[in-house]
Amino acid sequence: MKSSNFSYCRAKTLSEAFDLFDYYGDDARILAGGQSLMPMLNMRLSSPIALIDINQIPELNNIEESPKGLKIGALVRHYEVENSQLVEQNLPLLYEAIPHIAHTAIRSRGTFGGSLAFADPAAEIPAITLALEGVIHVCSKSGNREIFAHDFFHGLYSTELKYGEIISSVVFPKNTYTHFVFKELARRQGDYATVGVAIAAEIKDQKIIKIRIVYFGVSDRPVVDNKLSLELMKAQFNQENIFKVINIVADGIDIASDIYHDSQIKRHLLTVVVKRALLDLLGKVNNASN
Amino acid sequence: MDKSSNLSRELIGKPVIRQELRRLLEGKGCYVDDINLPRLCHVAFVRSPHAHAKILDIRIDQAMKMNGILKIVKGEEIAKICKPYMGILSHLEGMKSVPHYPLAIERAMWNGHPVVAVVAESRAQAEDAAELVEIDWEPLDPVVDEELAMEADSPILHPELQTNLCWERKIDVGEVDRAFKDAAVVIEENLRTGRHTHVTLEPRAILANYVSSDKQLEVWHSTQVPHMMHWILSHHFGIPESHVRIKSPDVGGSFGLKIHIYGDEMATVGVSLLLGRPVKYVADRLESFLSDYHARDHRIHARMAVSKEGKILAIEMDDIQSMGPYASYPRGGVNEARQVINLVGASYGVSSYRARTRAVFQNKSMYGQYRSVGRPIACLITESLIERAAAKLGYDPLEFRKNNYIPTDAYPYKLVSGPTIEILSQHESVDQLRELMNYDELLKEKEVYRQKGVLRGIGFASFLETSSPSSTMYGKGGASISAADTATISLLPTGSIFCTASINEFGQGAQTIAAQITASILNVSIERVRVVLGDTDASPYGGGNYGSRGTSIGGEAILQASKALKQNILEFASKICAVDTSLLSLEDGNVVYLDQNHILISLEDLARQAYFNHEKIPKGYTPELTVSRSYAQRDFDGVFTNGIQASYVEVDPETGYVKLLKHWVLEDVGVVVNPLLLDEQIRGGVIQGIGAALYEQCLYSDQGQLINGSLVDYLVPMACEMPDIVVGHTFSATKTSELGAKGGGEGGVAGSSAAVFNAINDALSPLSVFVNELPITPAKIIKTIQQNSKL
Amino acid sequence: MHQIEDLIEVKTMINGVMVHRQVPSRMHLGDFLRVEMGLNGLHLGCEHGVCGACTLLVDGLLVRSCLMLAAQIDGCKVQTIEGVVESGEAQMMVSAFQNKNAAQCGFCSPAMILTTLEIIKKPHRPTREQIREAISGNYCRCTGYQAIVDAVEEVLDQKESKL
Repeated sequence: MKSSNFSYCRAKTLSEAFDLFDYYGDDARILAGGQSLMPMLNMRLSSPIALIDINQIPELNNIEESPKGLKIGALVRHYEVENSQLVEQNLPLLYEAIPHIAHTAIRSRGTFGGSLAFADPAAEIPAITLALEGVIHVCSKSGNREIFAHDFFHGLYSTELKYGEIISSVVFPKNTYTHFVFKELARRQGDYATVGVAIAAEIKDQKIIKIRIVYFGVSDRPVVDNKLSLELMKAQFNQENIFKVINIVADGIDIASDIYHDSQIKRHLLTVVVKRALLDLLGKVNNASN
Repeated sequence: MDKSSNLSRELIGKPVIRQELRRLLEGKGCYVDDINLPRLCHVAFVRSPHAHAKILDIRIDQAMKMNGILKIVKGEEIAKICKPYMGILSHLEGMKSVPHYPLAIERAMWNGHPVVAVVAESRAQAEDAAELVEIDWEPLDPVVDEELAMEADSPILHPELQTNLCWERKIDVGEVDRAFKDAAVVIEENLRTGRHTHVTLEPRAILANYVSSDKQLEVWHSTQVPHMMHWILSHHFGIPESHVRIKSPDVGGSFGLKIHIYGDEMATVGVSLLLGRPVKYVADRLESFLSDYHARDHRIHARMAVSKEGKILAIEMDDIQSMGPYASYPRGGVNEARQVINLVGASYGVSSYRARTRAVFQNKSMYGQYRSVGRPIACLITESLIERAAAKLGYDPLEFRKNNYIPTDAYPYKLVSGPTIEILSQHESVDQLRELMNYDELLKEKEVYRQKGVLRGIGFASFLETSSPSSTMYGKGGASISAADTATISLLPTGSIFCTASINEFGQGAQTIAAQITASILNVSIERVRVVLGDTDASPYGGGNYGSRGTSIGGEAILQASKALKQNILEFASKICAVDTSLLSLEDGNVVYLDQNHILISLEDLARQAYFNHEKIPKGYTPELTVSRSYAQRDFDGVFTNGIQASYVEVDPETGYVKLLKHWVLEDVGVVVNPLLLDEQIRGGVIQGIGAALYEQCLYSDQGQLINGSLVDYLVPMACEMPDIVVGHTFSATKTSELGAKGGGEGGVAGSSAAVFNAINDALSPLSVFVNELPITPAKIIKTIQQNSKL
Repeated sequence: MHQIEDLIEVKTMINGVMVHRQVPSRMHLGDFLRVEMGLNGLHLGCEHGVCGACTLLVDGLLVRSCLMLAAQIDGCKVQTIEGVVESGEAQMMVSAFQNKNAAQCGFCSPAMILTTLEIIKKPHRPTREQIREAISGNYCRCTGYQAIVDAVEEVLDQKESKL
């Protein structure tokens, strides 16, 4: 499985990258971590005319606090997120999710921006970014723009990114969430999730003030369940009420099947995982108050 | 007692570390893809995207224009230089197939069937050109369901055969109908086992180098059977055997994959013949899934009649094995069906037995042997019925088995299906397993968890393995597969020993086993023994590795050759030192006086006199310091081994996820030459069986397309999900050889799927639910629970 | 179809040796090391990043060489199994693998050795479950993985007894 031919160029700056995009028309691809792109190239599922290696662009690989929130550069590697105290303190949901990404060797190279741009519907980072309402900073020859997470994911491997645009960073706005739960089901350690849920909640005195619930692995993109959120906010957060709302998990959301699970099974698994996640969340709330 | 013939077995049975392992660990292994020759070129194949289609036209002109392209070869061109092959075994009554060639001609018969060989300076260039080969297809209706394939309106793969049935066998003995009438309990089941494949980490690989100047063909092949390949290539390409050399370098796993004939490999040899240049082909992982042989695809209906005293009265069984489009060459591809019908109920000597097995052609990948051929399926069928019968009657599952096993004094025991079992240790295995796993405590622990609503289960599977096959397996049916092996052992001038034998190494430790036996008999340190395997230029002719015969058969040849060399050494020493042979023995690289433990002469001094300085050699006498001995197992069709496995699991009924808590294996392989090598081989086999039980399946669309042919989608067992496995051994002697070893390479696989299957169903029993299909995926568990709750 | 193969200049340190080469643009790191540098210890089992047989160290991190282009190692330090053997770093682990028979065909072994060497560098002694998790990205078809875990434990025991 050898890839087809392509030209290879290293962009030392963003501006160089944009020029290269111009030069190659619409058939060049960005090489960042390469953990998703390289298999596709090796399997000849993708045959770009050129690869633009952006790994050496300096300003894209920092994790830093900014006035608007924690900023993660697009070239930050997964293992760097895994080892980051800033992430552990400011984005515990992300910190909890990262070890689920594949295996050590993949996390050495895979990048934050790459995971977002590839937009695998079963991947963790797109789901977390959607859950925490990250703002995706994008730049191109014609200027910069910011894309809200809820506008970013269009469908299977498809995002708002236009040709010639490069993600530079993601800013996670400061939030008032107090509790987080991350749960996924996968047949083997490191596999893509069969179903998964990421939950961020603000809970005070057994009452959910705000809760954001995102599913991944069940659709063509990560998906927010607003209906369930609203329902959970109506009543006291306790076990009885969790069991009451479980039957509306993913209600109105189309669930896709995969080669091992039809959509009915997926929906069932998702419901189980969400139930357990909410019970874990309750456990965390109760522990904190003890 | 004649002390000079006293068998020294000092190293036999010891956990000797594999000497050759360090080289592999340090990255100095030499596999086929590590070998390069001057002017080496590479092959990529254009394969059929269709399961069944006519080839209307092939155009290669655009492809030929690409960089580095040397030649593009179609099926007809290879057919001109390669005799077609047909995998019929004449002793399997009624077996049918048709001849075929390395590359598809006129019709492609499975998704992945190689059609065109593209030869280039590099693999990447070959793939570039392969993309530009244009083929016009006329898709035909594919046959993708083994039951529908037997119906009157099914498309027929080979019109000349007028059927899709490759082979069928029926047995009907004893009083089956009466038994079912009289039975207190009848257990019935419909089972399905998922088609899967070997997934060796090193893919198939071959490097063929035909030198036209002297018409010599030299091949490096990742194979278990270099001598078989020697015959095959010589015969099919019409090159005299004396002009062919096959060398098997380090092999990265095989498990039966690399004993078959593959069209792409044969085509690679053909290309080398056409070009007169070395040509290499390494299957990439996607190709491997599409073109490696598949196995274990069965649909079974079975029933067992049991008396209220817990005695098995009869078994009835109907099995269909789904194959590929041709009988596989040269081993037939119906061995699984053979073993299934032979061995269902075999542990228990069931004498009222009605069974039918059918092997059916399909437009799916070629089909053949995978480690423990057919036995895991026979075991699954039998042990699932057993476990449920015991549960229904309220018997302890281990006692139920003991009460039904072939009585210990009934050996040798002839099964109603044909084979004879020499001797087993089934009762002892059960007793030891019970102790090893502390079953009574474990049962209590299981109950405690059940009270808390946690579904834990314990499952057992008693298994038989067949090893040391005689020529009745293949050769009797005309296949050119050797059931005999030979070892040639020499004493070298400095007192080292050179051993070469016709078995092969692919990671199981054959070299170390050979060295252990040789060093034991000749009483030298193991470092003094050099073992060469897997080279037809060096090793004598023989069977290589299949059917667990390396230690049992190859080892016996080595033992006999070592003994004979020892005899010759002592005789030579006695001649030149004028001491009677009966007073002499070997110790630590010397010929010694038995009684005084005095050194008479060192092996080195002796050897020097045989080779360099003949002054002391008496007239009329010639020292023979190179000896060959052959051995074949001819007493039985195969030497049976036995064992029992246990699995302890926890099932999450909401998610269908299964946690493997622990696993135990008790296996009897007769004399164990090296327990260190044997035990992890058993564990590796257990893991493969777990793969079959929970994860592995080649999934086909209803158009016969393989839909999960990558390591992302085809799930193989990885470290995190696997349990620790406790291994123990019982012992029953075989008299078929002096070494007394039975084959041990496949037992781990034979019983593990059934043990896990039974454990899962035991865990689910409080829900009155039975999962009947492998692999047992979460989706299947959930669906079965959901269906049951609707009742 | 694009037929031209670019040649890209790389300056890299491979097993402690400065290497300055032109590499074809599309060649992945695994192929480059095997074909151009004779470093056959790394093996290709899938070329889609799943089996782990091609794993080596780039700038001290475990990496799948089939998922990096050779062109990308410009300015990097690469260590393969040959390097850690020659430096002596792999000695204890190799012996432990031998003692526990933690390999059979050997195809996964170089990558497994490199991966397990990283496990024993962690500050806290991993449990058996954690060892299994650390090797969860390395496919082995021959062993039951158990002997590999045993080998890692043997090395951990030896290191502890030295303290």
